[in-house]
Amino acid sequence: MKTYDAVVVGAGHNALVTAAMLADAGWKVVVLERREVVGGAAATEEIFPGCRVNVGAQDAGLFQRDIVSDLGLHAYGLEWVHPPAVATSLTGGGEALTLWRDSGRTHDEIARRSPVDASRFSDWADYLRSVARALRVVLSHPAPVLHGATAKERIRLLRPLLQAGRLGKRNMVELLRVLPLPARDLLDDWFTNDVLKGLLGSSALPGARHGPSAMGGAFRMLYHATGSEACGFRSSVFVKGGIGALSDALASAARAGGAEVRTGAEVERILVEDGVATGVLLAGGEEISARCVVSGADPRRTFFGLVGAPLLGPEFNRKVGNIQLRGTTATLHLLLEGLPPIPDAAQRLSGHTVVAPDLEYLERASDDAKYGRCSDRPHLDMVIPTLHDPELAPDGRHLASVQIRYAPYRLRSASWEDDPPRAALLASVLNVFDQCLPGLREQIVDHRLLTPLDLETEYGLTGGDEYHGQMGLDQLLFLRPIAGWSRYRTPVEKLFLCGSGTHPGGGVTGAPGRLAAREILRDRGQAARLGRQT
Amino acid sequence: MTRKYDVIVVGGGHNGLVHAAYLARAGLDVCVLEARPLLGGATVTEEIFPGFRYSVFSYVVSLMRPEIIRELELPRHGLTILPLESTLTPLPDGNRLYRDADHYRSWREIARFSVRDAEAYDDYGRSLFHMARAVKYLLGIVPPDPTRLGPGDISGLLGLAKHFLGLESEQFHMLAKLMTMSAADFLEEWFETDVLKATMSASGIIGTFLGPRSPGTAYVLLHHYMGEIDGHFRAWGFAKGGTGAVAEAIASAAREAGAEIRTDAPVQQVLVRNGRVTGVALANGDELHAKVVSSSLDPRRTFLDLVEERELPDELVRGVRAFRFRGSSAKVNLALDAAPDFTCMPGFGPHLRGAVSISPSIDYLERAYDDAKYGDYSKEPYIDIVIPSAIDPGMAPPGKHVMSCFVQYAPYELREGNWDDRREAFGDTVIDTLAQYVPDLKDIILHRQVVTPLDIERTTGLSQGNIFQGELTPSQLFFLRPVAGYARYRTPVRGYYQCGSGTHPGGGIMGAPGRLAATAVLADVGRGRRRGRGR
Repeated sequence: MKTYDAVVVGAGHNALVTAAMLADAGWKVVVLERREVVGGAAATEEIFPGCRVNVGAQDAGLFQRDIVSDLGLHAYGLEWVHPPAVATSLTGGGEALTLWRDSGRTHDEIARRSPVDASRFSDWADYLRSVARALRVVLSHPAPVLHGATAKERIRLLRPLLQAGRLGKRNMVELLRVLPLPARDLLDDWFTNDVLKGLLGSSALPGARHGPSAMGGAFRMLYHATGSEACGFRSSVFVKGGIGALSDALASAARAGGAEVRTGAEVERILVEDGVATGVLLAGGEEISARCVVSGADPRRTFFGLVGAPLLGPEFNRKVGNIQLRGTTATLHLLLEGLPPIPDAAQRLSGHTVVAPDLEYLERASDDAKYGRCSDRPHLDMVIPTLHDPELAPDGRHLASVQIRYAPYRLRSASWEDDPPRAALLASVLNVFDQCLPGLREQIVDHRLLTPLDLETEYGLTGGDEYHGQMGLDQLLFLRPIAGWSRYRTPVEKLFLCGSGTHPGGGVTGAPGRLAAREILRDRGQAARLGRQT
Repeated sequence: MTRKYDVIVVGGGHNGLVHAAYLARAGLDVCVLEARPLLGGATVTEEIFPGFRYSVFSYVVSLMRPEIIRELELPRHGLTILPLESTLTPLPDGNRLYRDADHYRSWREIARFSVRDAEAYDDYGRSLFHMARAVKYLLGIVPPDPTRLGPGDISGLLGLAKHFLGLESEQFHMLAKLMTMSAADFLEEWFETDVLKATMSASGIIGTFLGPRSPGTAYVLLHHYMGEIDGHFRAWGFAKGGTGAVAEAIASAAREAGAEIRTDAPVQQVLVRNGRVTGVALANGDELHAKVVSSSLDPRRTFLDLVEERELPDELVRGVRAFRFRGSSAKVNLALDAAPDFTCMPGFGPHLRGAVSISPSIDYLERAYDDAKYGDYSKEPYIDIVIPSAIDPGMAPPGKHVMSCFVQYAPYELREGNWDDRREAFGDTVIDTLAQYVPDLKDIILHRQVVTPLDIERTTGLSQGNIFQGELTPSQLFFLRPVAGYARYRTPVRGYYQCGSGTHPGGGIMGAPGRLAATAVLADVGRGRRRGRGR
């Protein structure tokens, strides 16, 4: 039986980044994916005949560009698409406010609603970029750990601090003030127009159950603006051939480095011998042994599902049990005969098309989630990839993927296993569209609804949480995934985490995978040195 | 007429008085100017209805710093604090949760709902005790200024690092979570009983415009846990004679040290000549002169009302404009013909000498918050009740009682109508809610006073009626309170200081801002004197 240097559980984008980086370092690596396609929730699949649909993630703007260059992903067919529109807010009756990639055009568009806000927007974009830059420094380094850190590690910590210091004390202090702010407060300080505030505030929602008036929203707004091409508030960057092409490119890079990527290989258990991970057991009964095991699955699935609570301490288990995994997003995939009849649809609908008429609408939608109900007037975020990539659907048809908030994983008085809540959710989504995008309903040829429960059963996301743990301030940095275990290590020796559940968090960034790979390599390096010493 | 002082303190609230007392004891010639006929600001006892004495606004004492009580010898000046030992949480179905100082009785009470929670209850208390101890350190220091990073700031930051690195990592992590979590999530990690979580989360929403499920409320929970009477954390107390007695005691300490205290003396403006204070102008036109003026008013009044904008840098003005108040609490004070009779605990008993909390479930509190979020007062509000006359008979005629009801949420800005038109309707809502638990309440009410956020603003001057002089959210704490770069009690105007709850460490009858501001003033004055001698 052959032994690997590392066995990577799951082929989500982060796991693939880790695998590729370890392979590049000359490690013998095998990646094991339960499903037939790689990418996890960042996959493009044929859910309608002849169509290639981005099943989960749509936008790739947050993916770290230095990973692309380090792994030479362009050589494996990765191609970015930058649509003219960043985001369009549907305000009812076919009316819309669009923020364009072209700032001049954006200015004019806002000016029609509010000259004051239009004059402020470019300052806002600059402000957001500068603060996001400060944040990006923090997110591209391992989480600062102060306790139980050796002097050497503490010195390593100074590096990001010094880097951040170069951004200026004011910027850093401003970051401290802004991060905890509710999105509403930050936006009220800048703008007057409700439609604009709703559109900007909508980027604070992904990753948490909280509405615009909850603390930490400003952080999520900034987090979603850390993409190097974020146009002053959020990214609108897609991948030619669907986001799956990014995952495929990562897999190719890993293979090119000598890694094996096996699909249809479900890991049933992570094998542990006296506190040390030794390999994995596949569903088929096959055992694969390795010098270390790296899990791309979310922390609770990794510890409770694959390792098993009995092998871990009660205190640790309590903390794993307390991780807030709160999926609140459902996705509706639509196959459309044609575009809905609104003026220059092809342009306006080319980015993110959202239903977020004002902040209160978003707030009320989030209230429903608070009480375990689906929003009957949900916030919608639609992407129509066929507008910049016609090959995704045959004979001139269009694909639309609509993210629906809020659809909580845990419903108080219903179950996602039954049809009624699904039917009700579909109905309320279509009703909202009837008001905001008249004529869309008539174009629908086929549809497929993915609930948080589907995300859990099909993609293994515990609680249907695509972020592997709520992106609240209490689950970030050294508190992610669990206070005291933010360095990708676990109580099980030689078992590492590399998924979105670890610092810096969720979204298609590749950052956790990259930082995890580095820590794993350092760990090995230290081990080697120790070996030499003895 | 003009008269020259060393220091003029604007506002005779408890922080202004503490500030004055410390400066007077240091030998400075101090004058306190209070707009109202009585001292205390929001810390007053008034006989609104003959024979019945209301603690009109703030109603319990627990955060008052023990070093202040000690150093100003407040007990000698008449301060007596009677402990509030129990909390009763009545439930709509006639059931109840009753917790008091008797450890075993509380255990049995909680165990009626969940043995697991009863077991966890002590651990929880211990952990929060440690948390409070860890944070208490902050209450005693002047925040360093990371925007300036002068020598003092750096040593301050190093001191902080030393303190927090000194904690065990478990404690440090818990603290980090406390600063960022919602009270509901935090309690969720300990308990399973809804009513227990609800009534405990209540102290996380007091004075805030947040619900128990809003991140940030766990910190407020801790802030209220920091109360310290004879070293026991979370020991709430009631001042004999009402909270006004606290202000009176501090005032008497200040007078004894030589401070002059004037009431009915509203300050119109702080006088500034080429970047330096020269004194204040009163509403009646009088001018009083001083080298130092300290404002105990909230940041908005201190910077936007009392001085000309042109005296201040834009960033400060912008910062103060962005500083959030959003008052959310109201008071309903009742004069009762007899003691209230709670269905869940009939008769006159020790429970009436404690707090009664209308907080039956997390959802109940959350719904109350939702109403306010959309600009209306809660249809079923959270109510924190104290019956001062049951603890201190002097507060009401024999056999009769006063009942103090702290109510949330009552947003300062109503979407429909205004508080003057809806005050009594709001009062009715509160009484109707209470009547669900005290059926005969309406028959025994002799007099009722409804104090809305608007009334709080009008009477005490607290902007938007915020009882903390500004929300206690992480964006407005420590070196960010009130504005980054201006959190060390000094202002860009030489000789002008801030000493109210709008500065670190914030609101509550704590006195810490007034005391810390005094150290800042004394440091500067001392430096001035030394320079003087040098010449």
